[in-house]
Order: sequence, then C-alpha cells, then structure tokens
Amino acid sequence: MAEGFVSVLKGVRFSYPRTDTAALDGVDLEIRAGEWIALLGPNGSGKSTLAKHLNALLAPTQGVCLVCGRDTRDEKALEAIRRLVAMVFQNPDNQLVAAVVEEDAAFGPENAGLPPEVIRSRVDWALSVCGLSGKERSPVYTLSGGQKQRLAVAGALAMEPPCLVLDEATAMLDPQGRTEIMDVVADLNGRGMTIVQITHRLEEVVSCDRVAVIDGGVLRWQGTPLDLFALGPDLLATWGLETPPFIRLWQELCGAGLLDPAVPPSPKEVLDALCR
Amino acid sequence: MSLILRNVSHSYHKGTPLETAALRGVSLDVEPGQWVAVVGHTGSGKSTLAQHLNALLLPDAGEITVDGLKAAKGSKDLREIRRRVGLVFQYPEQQLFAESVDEEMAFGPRNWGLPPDQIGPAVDQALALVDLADLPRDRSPFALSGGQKRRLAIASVLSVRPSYLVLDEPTAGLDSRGRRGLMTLIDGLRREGIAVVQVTHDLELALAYCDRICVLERGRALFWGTPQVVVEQLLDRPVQGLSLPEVLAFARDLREKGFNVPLSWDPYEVAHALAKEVG
Ligand SMILES: Nc1ncnc2c1ncn2[C@@H]1O[C@H](COP(=O)(O)OP(=O)(O)OP(=O)(O)O)[C@@H](O)[C@H]1O
Ligand SMILES: Nc1ncnc2c1ncn2[C@@H]1O[C@H](COP(=O)(O)OP(=O)(O)OP(=O)(O)O)[C@@H](O)[C@H]1O
Ligand SMILES: [Mg+2]
Ligand SMILES: [Mg+2]
Repeated sequence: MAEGFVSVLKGVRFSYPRTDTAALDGVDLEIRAGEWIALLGPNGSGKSTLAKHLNALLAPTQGVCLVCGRDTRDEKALEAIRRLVAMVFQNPDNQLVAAVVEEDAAFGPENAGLPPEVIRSRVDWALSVCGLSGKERSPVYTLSGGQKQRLAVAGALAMEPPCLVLDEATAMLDPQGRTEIMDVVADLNGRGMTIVQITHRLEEVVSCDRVAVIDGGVLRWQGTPLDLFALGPDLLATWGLETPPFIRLWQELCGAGLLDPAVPPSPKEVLDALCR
Repeated sequence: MSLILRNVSHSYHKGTPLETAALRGVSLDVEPGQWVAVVGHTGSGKSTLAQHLNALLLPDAGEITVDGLKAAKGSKDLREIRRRVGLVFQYPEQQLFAESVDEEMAFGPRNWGLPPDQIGPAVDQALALVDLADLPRDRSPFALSGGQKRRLAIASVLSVRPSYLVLDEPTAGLDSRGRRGLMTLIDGLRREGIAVVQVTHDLELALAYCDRICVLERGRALFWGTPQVVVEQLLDRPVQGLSLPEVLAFARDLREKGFNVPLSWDPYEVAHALAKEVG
C-alpha cells in the first residue's frame, strides 16, 4: 500500500503571522514507509503545526518539507500530497463539510474521482469500523461530540491514504471506542499504512515503533516507547509527559525483580509471566 | 443550597422523524463543595445533561432546581441560574468568539456586572490559574494551540466566579501537567465551597479525585455513588463504552488467579501487594 512513502523535514522553521516566536524552530525528521510514529509534547509545543506541514496545509518559513520527494511549497504538488497524506484534525468541526453523515465520509473519495461503487463500499466500511452504522442518513449537527470525532476519522479512512495523520483524533472517545479505532489503525499499519499519531495519552503509544518528543518547536528526543519511559518520571515531566499507570506497575515489578524486563508491558503477558 | 435533578428527560426534535431521547429520567444532587464526575459511552447523554445544569437546555419532563431557582420553560430565574452555574463546552470552539484573548476574558465579568476596576484583576487571576499568564493578550483565541484554547475556555468561565462549575471533557487535549494542574485547581475550588460537575472519559481521574460518579448509559443514570461503590458495580456489570482502568482490571485478573492483591487502580499499591505475595 505504502511502498516508498516517505516524508522528510530538513531544518524546518515556521512562524505564524504576527507572532514573535517560531512555532517550529529547526526540525529535522524523517517519517519512514510503513512506520507508526507518535509525536509527543506539551501544549503549544508545535505538534499540530508539524502535522500540518506533512500534508502541505502549512509550508516552512525556512528549510524544506518533502513528501515522497515533492516539495510542499510547490503548488502543483498539493493535490498529489493531499492524496498521499490524510489528516484528522484536533477539532472535527474544522473538517466536517457535508450536512449528512454518509455524504461527509464520501467527500474525500469523491474528490479523488473514484467510481461510485468503490466510494460506496469504502464509506460503508469506514462508517462501520468507526461505529457509525445506522447513522448514515443522520444530519451531522445531531451528532454528539464523540460521534463527530468518529466521523472525522471515518472520512480520512475512506480515502485509504498511504499515510494517515491523527491529531488527537480519539481525545473525545469513550475507552472502548478509543480501543476499537486504534485496533483498526493498527491493522491498517500492519498492512503498510504509515501512521503519524499525536496524543497526550501515553498508554496509546506503548506499541508504536517510534516516538518523537517536541518541546518549544524543537525536536528533543527520539526512540522507542519503552526507552522513553525508561528515562524516568522527572525528565518526562519536563516535557509535560507522564508514565501511564500500567507501565509504572510494570516498571515496579521489573525493579523489584519479580518480572523479567523482557516481558512486554501488556497486562496479558505480565499475568502469564507471573503465573508461570 | 444545591443543584437538584429529579427524573429529568430530554428529547431532541420531539415529534419529528429525528426525535432522539437523550436523557431518560435522570436524578442526581450536587452539594456545595462536591466534585461529581459524569461518565458514559459516546452519545450516552453527558453533554445534554451538562447543558441542562445551566439551563441552556430545559427538561421536557422532570424538575431541575439550582439553589431553589427553577430551570423550566418560562421561569424568570433562568438568567440567575446561568450566572451561578458556569459551563465549559466540550469543544472550546463552541464557546470562544471574541477577537482577542483580552476581549474573550473580559466578556463574562462585564456581562455579569463586575465593577470595571475589578475586571482586570479577575482576568489576570483566571489566566494565571490555567497557566496562560504569558499569553499575548491581543492574540485571537482561534490562533492558539488546542490545549491553549481549552485552557482559555476554562479561564473565561472561572473569571466570573460561578458557584457551580460544569466542565464537559475539560482534560481532553490537555498535557499531563495541565491535567494535574486542573485537578489541583478544582480541588481548591471545592474547598471554597464551589461544586464541580465534570464530564469525562477518564475513569482513572474520576476514581482518583471525584466524590461521586454518575454512570450514564443510553440516557439513564445507571450507577450513582462514591468511586468505591461505582467500581464494585462496574466489576459486577460491564457498561457500554466503559472499560476499567488497566491497573484495576489487572488486579481483578490477578485475584482470579489466586493472588491476594487489593482491587485498586493505584499501580504502587498493586505492585507492593504483589511483592509480598511472590517475594
Ligand atoms: N494560527 C495561529 N496563529 C498564531 N500562533 C499560533 C497559531 N496556531 C498555533 N499558534 C502557536 O504556535 C505554537 C504551537 O502551536 P501548535 O498548535 O502546533 O501546538 P501543539 O503542540 O499542537 O499544542 P496542543 O497540545 O495544545 O494542541 C503555540 O505557541 C501556539 O500558540
Ligand atoms: N442537536 C441535536 N439534535 C439531535 N440529536 C442530538 C443533538 N445533540 C445530541 N443529539 C443526540 O443525543 C444523544 C446524546 O448526545 P450527547 O451529546 O448528550 O452525548 P454525549 O454523552 O455527550 O456523547 P459524547 O461522549 O460523544 O460527547 C446522541 O444520540 C446524539 O446523537
Ligand atoms: Mg495541537
Ligand atoms: Mg458530549
């Protein structure tokens, strides 16, 4: 699906109009084909600004951002870039465009000029995996906050993009809904879709390939989730991050010699190991 | 002096094909100084409930009173109820409207008749409480990050010093420092006698901080009680959309395997009990 998808930021600096400080201050980052990367950092650190560079909604003030070799400043490349990278915004109201649920989910595929039967099956699939079956004909304004967020995700999934950027796309979902959507995302990632995920809930990033921490518009750290948690609560706190409760339990058990650190921090695996 | 709901029901678009029963016979009491969490699945009626608490929506059936004032169609108390009960919406963009941070913040205090010389200090204090003291005041509220918008929406309601504070998913989009800071802030408010109703998907926070939890399912208040009581009910009967905090579910599974650990959501408590068992 995503062979060769790659996005490269080189020395990206970005300032919003009429502001004194740069929202991104020299970011070098490569997003590789098929990986699942999480962007973490405190409020106002530049995560959404970086995400908007990935599908050319914003272009660097200095430096370059390349998506599959296309420069995001090149207006002729915009259409291609938007097809390569679909984005779910922090606030679904910024992205829901149609009056009725199924029309909204069909908006992206229709714009891409896909045949009607392909659109139909993609929309049905996307609405169903996002838990909106039965709401196809509902007016968008009658949706609850979480239902809107589900619709925003469904619209992006229906595009079947090589790269999906989720900007706090599950912040308004109930715990089961969040798990359901992340399971779908994990499945798509397993089939090659590149995932860029922004979240403040660190329990969501335990199984991703790589996390990048951004603070004050600067990339501070990159590595695996477990290496991040191993940095310890004090350093994490300086980036506004907190170790999730189950990881703390896992760390305690490893530290007390009750558990082999090779056992992954998932409740099921830890339980099996303790019962052995 | 309390906020009382008795058998409150509400349907959207009553009598049309779009009719949706969002609340069905919900009763609850909120006393001064109490911190109440409302949890439940997507579409369970939480935001609808929140908007009834400050009379933005009115019940089709049942009764709501705020310090004895009636929230009902035609009641002359509605304006006073809205002054006493401050509501922070689920999405900050539903609430923010002004051209600048300063305008946004000054609107409430001015609207509710705070003397002009007190508006500035009230605004400064509220912004400091949510860690936004350094925000450029001439910036548009829409030219902020998601978490900054959330903080601004909370501050603008705090600046009018309501006696009841209703927060719809206030921790969504906040970083963990902001989340902890908000919990500390609310704890301080309740000590001053302010009652707080917090809609949240974060059961862990609700269990750790709130006095009472209301679990909604399809518009009905399924459970209503202290965290300990609600935990026992949740362990007994799964609720649509909710899952137990990971550590608590793990503790339950450990007990089923014969380990003697408490039914706790605190990682250290479970780890220490386990150390005694295994070690
Ligand atoms: N439209 C805008 N105009 C001016 N400044 C902006 C605008 N949008 C964001 N900013 C500023 O740029 C910085 C980075 O914002 P950004 O939205 O990228 O943060 P974020 O990491 O996504 O934060 P959050 O976790 O709160 O969503 C912040 O200081 C913010 O105030
Ligand atoms: N303006 C409206 N018109 C018609 N139906 C509505 C309207 N607002 C909400 N509803 C419906 O009422 C029910 C309750 O919605 P509500 O917004 O209270 O849910 P919620 O518990 O806040 O959900 P979420 O966690 O997703 O925010 C849902 O089925 C929703 O679709
Ligand atoms: Mg953001
Ligand atoms: Mg809601």
